[in-house]
This record gives sequence, structure tokens and C-alpha cells, in this order.
Amino acid sequence: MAKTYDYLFKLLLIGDSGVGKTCVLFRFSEDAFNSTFISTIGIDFKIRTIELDGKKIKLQIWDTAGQERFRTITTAYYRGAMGILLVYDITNDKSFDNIKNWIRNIEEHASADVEKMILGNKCDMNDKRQVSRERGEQLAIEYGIKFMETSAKASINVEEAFFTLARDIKTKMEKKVEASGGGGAGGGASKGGGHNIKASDTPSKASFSSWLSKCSIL
Amino acid sequence: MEEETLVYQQDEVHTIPTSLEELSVAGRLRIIERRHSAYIEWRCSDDESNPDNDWAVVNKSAVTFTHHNSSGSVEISTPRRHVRPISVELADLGSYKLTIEGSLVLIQRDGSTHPALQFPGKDAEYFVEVLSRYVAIKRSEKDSTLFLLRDKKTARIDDQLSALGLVSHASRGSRVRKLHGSSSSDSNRSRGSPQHTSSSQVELHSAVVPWTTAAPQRVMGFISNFRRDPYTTTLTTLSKFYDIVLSEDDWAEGFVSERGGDDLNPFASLSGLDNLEPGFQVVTLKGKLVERPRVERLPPLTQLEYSQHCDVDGGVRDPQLLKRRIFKGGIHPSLRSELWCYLLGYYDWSSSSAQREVRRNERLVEYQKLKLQWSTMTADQELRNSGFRERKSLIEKDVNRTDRSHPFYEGDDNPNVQLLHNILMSYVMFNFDLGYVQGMSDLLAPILYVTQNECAAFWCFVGYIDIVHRNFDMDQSGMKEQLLGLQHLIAVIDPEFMSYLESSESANLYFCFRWLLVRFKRELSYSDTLRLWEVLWSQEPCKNFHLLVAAAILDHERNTIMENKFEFTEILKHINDTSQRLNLEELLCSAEAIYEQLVASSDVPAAVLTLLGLPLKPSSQDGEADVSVGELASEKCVSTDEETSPLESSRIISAGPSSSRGKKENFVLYRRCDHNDDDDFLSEEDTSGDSCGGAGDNNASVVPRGDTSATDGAPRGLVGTVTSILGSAVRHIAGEDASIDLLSPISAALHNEGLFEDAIGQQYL
Repeated sequence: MAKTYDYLFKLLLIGDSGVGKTCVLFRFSEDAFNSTFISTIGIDFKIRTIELDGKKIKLQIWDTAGQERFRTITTAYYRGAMGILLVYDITNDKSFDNIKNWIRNIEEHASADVEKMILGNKCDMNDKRQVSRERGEQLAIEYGIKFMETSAKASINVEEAFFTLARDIKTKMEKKVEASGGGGAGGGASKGGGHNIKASDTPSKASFSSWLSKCSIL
Repeated sequence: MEEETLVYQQDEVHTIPTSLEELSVAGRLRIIERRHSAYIEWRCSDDESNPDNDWAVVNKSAVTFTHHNSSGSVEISTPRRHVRPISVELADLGSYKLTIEGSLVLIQRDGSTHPALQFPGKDAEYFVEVLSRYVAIKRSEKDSTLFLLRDKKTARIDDQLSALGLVSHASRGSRVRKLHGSSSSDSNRSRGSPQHTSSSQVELHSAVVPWTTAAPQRVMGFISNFRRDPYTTTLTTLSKFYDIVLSEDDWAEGFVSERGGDDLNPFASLSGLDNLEPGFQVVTLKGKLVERPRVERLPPLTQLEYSQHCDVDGGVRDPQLLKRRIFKGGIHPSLRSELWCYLLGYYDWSSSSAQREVRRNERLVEYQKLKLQWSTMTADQELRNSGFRERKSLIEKDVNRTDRSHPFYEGDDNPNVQLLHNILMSYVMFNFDLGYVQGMSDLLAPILYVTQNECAAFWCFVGYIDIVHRNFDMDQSGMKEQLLGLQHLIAVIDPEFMSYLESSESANLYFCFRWLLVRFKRELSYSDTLRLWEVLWSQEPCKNFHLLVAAAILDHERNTIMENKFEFTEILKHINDTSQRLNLEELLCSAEAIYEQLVASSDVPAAVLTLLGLPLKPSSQDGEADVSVGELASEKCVSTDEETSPLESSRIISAGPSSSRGKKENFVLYRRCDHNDDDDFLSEEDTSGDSCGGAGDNNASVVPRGDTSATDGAPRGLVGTVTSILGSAVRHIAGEDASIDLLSPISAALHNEGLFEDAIGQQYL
């Protein structure tokens, strides 16, 4: 069966409970905002296919429960992720402070070269702001990660955030393919291409190999 | 606007409500050609006409996002949920379910599952006909309502291959049907819906490629598995082959006597080569459980009936009997607020009306004390109490997003939301260590809705958390134990499915996490949640009945999952998408039927009996079956352990031949490494020179067990054919032969009339 996309990227949303991860995702996947959201239990994902430079990229975006208690379950999903969006709430200082803990979590559980991005969500609520834009930027610089303030409710920067992350992953992937001689990504030899792309990875399980095989050019 | 060609259109295609709280929504179903692709689309006829329906938000998949722009975005501020339009590119559509009643569920390759649609006049014939212009449609052998889609080109190649006539036409009908009697009766039994197989359904799908015989597919499946992973396929086949050949006497006897009733065919679980994944595989010899009985449920307990259970003082005469009754039918809504107080331990069953009055007053005082403790906390105090602050902030976040679409909690400044907050805060004071964990607000909201009383709701909530507190363990060990228990259950109830889950990296059953954490609340409508919970609280007929409910849901989805070849990601998507679409009464029937089945079966492993709190039976105490399940559990830990080297994880668990009744009870678990490591494996083989020996060494699992002299019992020609195929595989693995020569032994076999038929019939393949 002909594939309806060229690449499959697995992304992950993490951050404290209630910062708006599900809302950001819902805005991106459904272009809608629902103020009566429910807390995320366990894990779920949504899919949206975007187009970048003529390539169809299927984004599989995983949404996790934020509460610390569930981390033993949610970290199991870090490994296959190619991009991670760290979300905090600009009206909640604590959620911003915790970004550092989340980054530590990523370092422990995700693959080393995963693309990261920090999102300060709820930027439509300026009157309740506790975290200045500058602090957000500063933190991002500290970690060498891209940063954006977003609002799922007002639809600010959500598209941009996902497109930026997807583009970064694509660029990195293509660079690696090139560096390895370019042969890897061609035709059905998905395995070869895959290994070149993520050669530095600790070998993970099927999730790893399955997205690799899917992300090579089909 | 890009060019579109409308190729099919049907109005008045309705959504199908799964509960009384929903309304059916009419819409228009179309098939459209756009940019050389075909799409199936469904849209509400009139978005304004359906304010009260309660559909879960439908995942509008992939492909279309052209409408995305900031000005035209949708803002859903009302608590109502919308029925989202469906748009699926045909290439993304993996299968659909279509019942005789004309209800259609579209299932994508990525697991996304759309809500059921009802064709007017139950007639989907033209839709299927138009669809079949684009894709090859094949009805599932296991589930007559499931139709699998394939690319036409692929289908044509497969057709040509099967047209080679590997199995003579005469043999197809009789033998294959017998062999598959077990699987089809299986699905009928568990589904409890024999009407699916009625003849009119067959007529309905006359446009569909007739493809009812299993044999050619099996051979094709074997060949394709062979190409993909000759190593595993060979060894798996070889081990099955040995299993059968070496226990020929034993087996032949059983087979001959059970030809009519294939349920006892110990090899039922070996069928379906499609399921052989290139990773490890569990080969389980089934045939232990008795047939699942048919179970009827009762209407809910009414006031009149309840009063007959009460004595003059207002106490319940026989709580056990009443609980049994609640289990069988639930409670009429008008009685709930009272009976839930008993079920959740707020009232004693034996208490008189007067005693209950006393209890209420005592408990009110206690509750008010707890409430005072947090409500009098000053801001200054809070600053120095981070534990309190954290709990409070989590509660505030969660009550504002708990059941806000339910009329009882909807709208701004709803006082009931404040009550939720009060009760949860008081619970933090009642049990500060457990505090508040996400999911608790979901467990409380229905209780407050039913009791409509803050204090009663608090104490009932306390009773509920007493039951489920392990769900909220700091290290999640309670959840992990339940998932493990569920694994044990599935392994016994449906070993074939468990083996499939193993091979698709899904044996951890993480996709059931949400079910268990909030006891299916997110999966069911509100009224169904209330019904299920009271049934579970009756603690009848056994412990951990909720795991049987989970097993029943999985049982319902197993064919869809297996036939679509879903792996973990797809299963998760599919399972999450089936939320709010379950038929609770049907599920409770099958959960109870599974319970009855386990009770009536003699060889249920002790682990499962213990899980359900059932008495251990003599036959299960001989230790064998227990060992296999116990080991199975530890094996699974291995399978999720990424560090384990392939060779380490390649091992066998065999309980050995069973002592009793000469029946097949061996549990053989044969595992190989992850397919990631295939290359390493193969290269090792390359250098070993003697690949045949190498294969044997690495896989002790295929070493014959039992009496080798029985080999003589196998038909010589058959052995020759199989050996020849295996030889070809071995040469291929050893690198001597680039191509796998499957066709020459096959064509050789063709000269030998009926040979392949035998191979298939005896399920070597």
C-alpha cells in the first residue's frame, strides 16, 4: 500500500500537570480549543501530517500525564521520541522551575540527540504572568534549546512551534544521511538509512526500529 | 480549491449512540477523488442540530489541514462535544467493521478508529461496491464483521500466487472449514452475536472478493514470513512440526475423536501463520478451558425488590444475596444514593435506620473537623508547607477539568465543582501521605453526583479509595501488579492473543492503564460508569472482577487488533479511540462468562485463581501449569528489559509432558531475540559454517521432547517436503543460496496429490 507520507516523526509533550500540554496538542491537531479539558491519564497521541519543502511529514505527537507519580510509566515513551516539547505555564512559576527537572528526565530517558524546545504556554494571560519572557529565553539559552511563548487558547505560535521542531528534526536527519554518504535513505533499504541516522543511539526496542524504518524515504 | 470528483454520496448516515445520554447525528458519507487519491469523508448534515450528544472528540486524522488558519479556527467554549467530521485517505484505511445491521466503523492503519456510522436501511452494499473499485477487500476469517483492505496491486500478486493451486480446490471446503470451526465458533461464543454469520450478510458482501478459504493464505503467509525472516519462520515451523510429529499418537487420537468439535484441538492456537512476527514468539498449546457459557443479566434492582431484602428495622437481611443481585443487574438510579453508601462502607449492611442516623451525625462531625483543618490554613502557613501547597494546586487544577461537560458540573462558578474541591482537600487532611493523585477527582465526581451530599460523598469516596488506593502507589506498583494480573488472565483465556501481544511488543498492556486507573470511567458514558462501579463494588462473584472486564474488552478487540496487525502504537490508538463506544451490558456478560469459564475449567493456573480469589483446585496444584504462568511473568520482564542480550533472552520454558489424562498441556515458550538483532544473528550463522547445527544450538527450544520413535508415525512424503523447505531456508541463512527456493519443494509437492493439504490440515504451516 502506498504510504501517504514521506517521514514519520515521533514527538513528545512533557511538562507539569495543568500547563496546557493537551490544549497545545489539540490546537495543533484539531485547530480548536476547549476550555473544559480533562486531565490526561496514561498516555495518548494525535497525528497530523504537515508539508515541509515538498515532503509530507506525519507527526505522531505523544501527550503524557504531568503528575510526578506517573513518571515511571511516561518515561517509557521518551526513548522513541525524535523531538520533545517542554511546556510550562507562564502564570505558574513552579512549572517554569520544574523545566530543569524535566530536562534532567530527558537526559536520563530519551536518546541523546533528541531535538528539544521549550514552550511558555498561556501567553494570552499576561495579567497573571509570573514568568517573564526574558527568563524563558535565558533558560533556553542556558540549555541551547529553542524557545517560544505560545497560547493554545489564542492560537499563538502553536503551529510555528511544531513546524520549527519538525524542520529541525528533518534538517538533522538529512544532514546525517548526507554525512553517511547519502545512500542510506534510498529505496527500501530502510534499515541502513536508519542506522546511519541514529548511529549514536542506544539500541532501543521495536519502537526504535519501527520509526526508523518509517522515517527513511519511502 | 483543488479538483474533486464525487464518486459516492449517501445522506442520512447516522452516528450510533452507545448510551442514553447521546443522540444520533445524521450526516453525509462520501467518497471523493482528490489529487489522485480517494478519500472517505463523513460530515454532520447540520452542526446546530445536535447540541446534546456526548461523543468523544473524534480524531480527525492526518491529511487534511488546509482549513487551518487562525481566523477560521473553532472555539469550543460550551461544554458540549461536537461530532467531528471524518476524513480518511483510502491508503490510510486499514480495515472497517460492517455489521449485518449496516453499522460501519472505519479503522485506519495507524489504529485510529472512527465512531460507528449507521447506513440508512441497513444497506451498505453500494458503498462497499464503490470502495472495492479502489482497494481489494477481504473478509476476516476470524470475525465476519471485519473487512481488511489491501492495495489492489498487492492483492493481485497474492491472488496470482494463490492461483498456483497450492491447495486443490476440492480440499478447500471440507477440511479448511473444519479447521477453522474452532476460530469462528470462538468468535461467536465470545461475542455472543451469532447473527453476524447469517447468510444475508454474505449476500450483502457479494461484491467483495470471495476469499473464504484459509489454506492458500496460510501458505502465502508462510512464504511472506519466510522471506522476511527465514530464521524465525523456519525454526517456529520446525518446532511446531516436532511438537506434532513427536506426539503423533497422543495427538492423532485427540484429533480423530475431536474432529467435529475443534475446540479441543490442542493446536487451535497454532493456526494463523500471519501472526508469526519476526521477533520472539510464544507457542502455546491450548485446550484447557471449557467453553464459555452464555450469561444473562438482570434488570436493575428496584425499590420494590429492595424493600423485600430489608427487615422491619431497615437493615438488610442477607447482604450477600443483595450484593449478588446488584452484581447481576446494578441498581435503579433512584436507589443509588442510598445503596452506594452501603457498598462503599459508609453504612453497615446490618444497621437499622436509627443506627444509620447516628452514624451520619458522627461522620458529619468528623468531616467538618477535617474540613476545618485545611480551610483555616493561613496563606502564611501555606508558604511553609510545600506538601500542602502542591496537593492544593493539583486539586484546584483538576476539579476545574473534571466532568465539566456533565450537567451537574458544567458552567462557570458551578457550586458542585467547589464541593469536589472541598471533599478532595478534606481527603488530603484525612490521608495526607496519599494526598491527591490525578484520577481521584474522576473517582469522586460520580459519587458526589449520585449522593448529592458533601459529607456522604466524602465518606463514600474514602471507601472507594480504600478499594483502589494501590492505583495511586508512589512507585505505581499497584498498577503494574494489575497489568501483570491481566497478562496472566489473557495468557490463560486467550493464549493466541497473548502470544500475538508478545510478538508485537505489547505484552505490557500499557494501553489498559487508563482503564484500570480510573476504573473505566474515561471509557464509558456517565450512566454506564455508575452501573459498572456498583457492579464492581458488589465484590461479586470474585476478587478483581474489573480485570475480567478489561479482559472482556480485549477479547472484543482481539480480532481487530490481530487482523490489522496492530503493534503497540496502533493498539494504543485503537483502544483510546474505542473509549465511549463500549457496550457495557455486553461487556459485563462476557466478563461474567469468562469468570464462569475459569471456574468450570480444571486446569486454571494457580496464579489466576489467586488473582480472582478462587479456591485452588487439586489439578492445578501439581505445579506444572503454575510454573508456566509464573515463568511467563518473569519472562515478560525480560522482554521489556532492553539490556538483555539476544542470546540470553533466547530460552525455553517447558513444563514438560503433562502427567494427567494424556492431554496436551505443555506450555512451550520459545523466544528469540528482538528483530533489531536479526543481522547479528544471521552473520553469526554465516561464520558458523554448519548452519544447521548452529541453528540447533542457539535454539534449544526445538530440541525434541519425549519419545523420538514416534517420528516414524509421520507421513514420509510430508516430512520430505517440510524438510526440503527447511533445508532451503538453512542454505539461505548460511549464505549458500541467495534466494529461498520455496517453489520447487512446493511444486514437487504438487505432484504428490494432497500433500500440502496434509501439511496445512495438520497445521505444520
